[in-house]
Amino acid sequence: MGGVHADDCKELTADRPIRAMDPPEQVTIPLSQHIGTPCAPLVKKDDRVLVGQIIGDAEDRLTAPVHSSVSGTVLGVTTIEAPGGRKVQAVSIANDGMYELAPGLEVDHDPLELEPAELIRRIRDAGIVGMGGAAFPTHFKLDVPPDKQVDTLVVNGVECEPYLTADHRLMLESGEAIKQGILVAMRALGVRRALVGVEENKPDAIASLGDLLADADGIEVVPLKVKYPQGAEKQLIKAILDREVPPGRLPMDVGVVVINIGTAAAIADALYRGMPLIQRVVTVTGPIVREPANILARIGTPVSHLVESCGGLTEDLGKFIVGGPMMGVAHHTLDTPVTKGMSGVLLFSRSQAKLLEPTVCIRCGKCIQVCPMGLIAGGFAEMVETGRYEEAEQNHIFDCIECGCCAYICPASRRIVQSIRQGKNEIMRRRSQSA
Amino acid sequence: MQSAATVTVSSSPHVSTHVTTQVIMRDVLIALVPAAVAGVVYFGMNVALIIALSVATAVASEALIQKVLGRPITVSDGSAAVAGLLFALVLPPTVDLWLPVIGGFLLIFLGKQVFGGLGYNPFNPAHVGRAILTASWPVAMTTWVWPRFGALEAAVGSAISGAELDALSGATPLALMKYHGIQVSYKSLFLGNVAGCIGETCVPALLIGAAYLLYKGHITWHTPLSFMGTVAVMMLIMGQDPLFHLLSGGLMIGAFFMATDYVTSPYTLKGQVIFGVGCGILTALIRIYGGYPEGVCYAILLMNALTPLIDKFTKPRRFGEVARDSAIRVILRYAVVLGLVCAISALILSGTYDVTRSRIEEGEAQDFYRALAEVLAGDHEFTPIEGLRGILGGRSNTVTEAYIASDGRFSGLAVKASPIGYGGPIDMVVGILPEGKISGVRIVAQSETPGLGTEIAREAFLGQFVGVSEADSLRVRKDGGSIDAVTGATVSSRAVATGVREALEVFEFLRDQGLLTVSK
Repeated sequence: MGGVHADDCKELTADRPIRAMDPPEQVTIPLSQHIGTPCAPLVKKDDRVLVGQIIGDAEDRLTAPVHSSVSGTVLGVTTIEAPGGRKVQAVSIANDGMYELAPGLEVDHDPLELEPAELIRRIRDAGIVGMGGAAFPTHFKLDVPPDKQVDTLVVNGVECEPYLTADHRLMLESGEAIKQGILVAMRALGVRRALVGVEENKPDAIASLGDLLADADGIEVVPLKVKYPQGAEKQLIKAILDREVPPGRLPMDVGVVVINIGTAAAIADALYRGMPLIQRVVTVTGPIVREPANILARIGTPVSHLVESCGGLTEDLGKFIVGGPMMGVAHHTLDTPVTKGMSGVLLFSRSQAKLLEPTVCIRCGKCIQVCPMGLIAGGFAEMVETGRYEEAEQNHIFDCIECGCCAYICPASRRIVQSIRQGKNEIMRRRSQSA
Repeated sequence: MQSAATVTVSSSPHVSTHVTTQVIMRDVLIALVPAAVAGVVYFGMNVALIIALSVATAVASEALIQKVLGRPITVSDGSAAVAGLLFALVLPPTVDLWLPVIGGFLLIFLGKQVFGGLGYNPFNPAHVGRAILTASWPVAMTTWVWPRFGALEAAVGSAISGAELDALSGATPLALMKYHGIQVSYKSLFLGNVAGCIGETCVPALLIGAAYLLYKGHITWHTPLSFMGTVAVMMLIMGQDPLFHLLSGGLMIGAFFMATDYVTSPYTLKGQVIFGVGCGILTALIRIYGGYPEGVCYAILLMNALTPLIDKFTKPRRFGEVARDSAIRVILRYAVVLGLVCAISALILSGTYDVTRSRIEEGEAQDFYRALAEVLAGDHEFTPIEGLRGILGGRSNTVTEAYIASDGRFSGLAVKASPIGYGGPIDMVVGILPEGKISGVRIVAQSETPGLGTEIAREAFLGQFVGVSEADSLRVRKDGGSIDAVTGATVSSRAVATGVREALEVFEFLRDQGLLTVSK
C-alpha cells in the first residue's frame, strides 16, 4: 500500500564507476556514527595511530567501535555538530600519507567454518553498522535472541531514494564481496535462505548479481516494483515475503533479519580481508555538482573534500543534504565528515532549496493514500499544530517511518513530516517528564 | 566555502511534486474549457457573459470577504475561480445576468467562507450556489431552451407533431422522459444539442476535460466510475434506459467534476467508491421517484454531508496490524454501511418529498376550489362528472375534469384543463354558463417564464375570454382567432386559448349528449 513514484534522478551517477580520491590531509572521525551508546575515545592528542586501529569503543552491547581510516597523529578529541544538530565527540587525525596498517583483524580461518558467535564478535570488532543510512550495529542484528526464530535473511539492494547510486554501483562492481558477506551473515544467523531485493530500475545489477549468485544455495535475487519507499525495512519484507512486521515490533518477530547490500560487502572486507569499516562508497550528486560521482571515501573525510574532488559546484550552494532527498538530513556545513551511514550527499542550488509556502489543507487525502504505514499522515500535522498530542498518539504517530511520501505529494506543501517529528519529540518529552 | 547563513536547513523531504493546489485548480479550469465553449456554441454569446460574471463575482467575493474578515487573501489558489466556473456551467442558459452575480457571491459566502474557507467547506460550493438559487428563484433556475439549429425536432424525430413541439420547447430531455415519455435521440444527447445547463449537455467536451484530469492524476476513476456505474445499474433494475440516463442531465459533469472535489469527498479510494455508489443510488432515486427530473446536484450534496462518516468507516488499515475480520466480514461491513447510508438518504428524500408533496397538493386543492368558485359567480354546489375521460373518448387532450354546478338546477359547468405551455403544463379552470358562454378563466398552477409568461394569469389577458360563446374564435390572432396574445409569450397564450377552447367544446359535447342535467 501507499508509496510514490518520484523522479529518481539517478542518471547523474548511475553510470559512474566507484572511484578513489586523493585522501585528505586531515580526517575527523565521529565517535558516534551509529544508533546506540557513543564510543569513548581510546586515543589522545599526539598519539600515533595506524589504519584500522581502534580509536573509540564502549562497554555496551548496542554500540560499534570506531577505527582510524588513515595513519598519522591525533590532533585532538573535539566536539562537532553532526547532521541533525546532535553534538558528538570526534577524533581529528593528521594524515601522514603512509597508510601504515594496524595489525588488524584475524583472517586465520575460512569465515564459513567459524561458529556464529565468533562471526558476530568479529563483525562487532570491525565496527560494522547498517550502511543504508540508519547505522544500526550489525552484530546486534545478527545476534538473534534464542526465543526468536529467524528463517530468512533479506538483503536490501533496493536503494529507492532518488539520486543515490552507491549501492547500485557496489552491486555491479563488488558482487563477489556481497556474496561472501551474505554467506557469512547467513551462517551467523543460521538461516538457509537469503533474498536480495533489487528494484526493477536496476536491471544490470539484477542480472550481474543473479549470475554471481546462481551457484549459491538458497540465495535468490528478487526484482521489485519501483516504488518509494520500497527499501524501507518493513515495506521490503512485505514486498519480498508478504510478511508484515506488527507495529512496534522488529523484523525478527516475523522471522527476518534485513541487512544492506553495502553492509554485506563490509562484512566480507572484515572477515576475508581483515579490514574494519574505515571507508565507504558515497554518491556525491545534485544538479549543481560539476562532475557527480560515486566515491570510495575514508571515514572522516570532510564532505567539502569530496565536493572539490567532483570539480566543485556550478552554482552557489543552497542546501546540503546527507542522504537522499526524501529522508536525508539537511546540514549547514560541508565540513561535516563522511560517516559509516553516509550513502550520499546531495547538493542543491538556492532556487532548488527554496521551500514552497504551506497553504491550507484541501483534504485531498493524497497523504493518506500514499502513506506506506496506513496512517492519516496529514491529520498528524493538524493534531500537532493544535496541540492534540494524545489524539496523535492514539492514531499511532509512532508508527510513522518519516519516509516523506506525504509531504512530497501534498498540494498544499504542508510540512507534514516536520510536524510529525515535532509531535513525536513532544510526546517523548512529556513521557520522560511524567516518568 | 559557503557561509552558513545562505544554506537552507529544513526537515526532509527536500523535494516535492510541485503539483500545488494552484496547479490543480488551474488544470481543473483548463479541463472545463471545452464544456464552457460547447455551452457558448450551443446557447449563444449570452452564455459567455454568464460565465464571465459568475467567475468574476466568485473571485471578487472571495477576496472581499477575506479582506473584511482579516484573513489572508488566497484567490490566487484558483479555487474561487473553479467554483465560479462550475457554478456557471450548471446554470440554465436563459438566466438573467443578475443571477450569476448573486450566485457567485452566495456560493463563496455561504458555500465556503462561512465555514472558514477552502478546505473547511462541507459541501461543494458550486452546488450550494445552485441549490440556494433553485430554492429562491425556482422558475428562473428551471427555465430551459433548446439550442439553436432546430435541435428539438432532430432530437425527438417524428415522435410528436409541430404544435406539440412548440409546447415542449422548454423541457429538458429528462423532463421530456419523466413527464411526457418522450425519448430524445442518443446522438443529440451525446453531442449536447439538447436543453440543459450551460456546461452539462455536451458529453464529448466533458469527456475531454475528464480525460485531461485523469491523465494529470488530479482525479482517479474511482468516484466517476462508481457514480455512473451505479446510475446505470439502478436504471436497469428500475426498468429504465441506462444509456439515456448516463447521457442526460448533469451526471457527467457531476461525476467527473463535482463528486471528485477533494474538499467534500472522502480521503481514501475505498471511501470514494462508496461515495460514488451513494451518489449513483440517490441520483437514480431522485430522477425516477423524486419531485425533480434531475437529482445529481442533491445527490452529491447529500453525500457531501455523509463524507465524514464514510471517512470514519474507511480508515486505512494500519501497516502490520492483523486484520481482525475476515475478508467476507469486511465486505459485509462495507455493504451494511453503504446500505445504511442509502436507506437513510432514501428516507430523508422520500420523507421530504412526501411532506412537500402533500403540502403542495393541499395548497393546490385549495387554489382549485377557490378558482372553481370564482369562475362561476354565486352559490353553487359542484358535482364532478365521473368517468369523464371515457365519455369524451379522446375528444380533448387538455381537459381532465369537469364539475356540474347547481343552485337547485343546472347553473353552469366548471372545466379543469391542463394545456402544455412554455415551461410545462398550465393548470386552469374554465367556467361556462348554461347558455354556453364563458363566465371566467383562472390559472391555478403554471411554470411559465417569470415576467412575460406569468402575464397570462392576469385579468387583462384572461378577461378576453369572458362572454365568448363561439369555440372557434378562441384562438390567438396569429392562429385566426380573436384573442390578443401576451406580447412575447405567444406559446403560453396559445396554450391558454387551447385550454379554454377545448373546455367549451367539451361543454358543447356534454350538452349535446344530454349529460348536463342536475339529478334531483
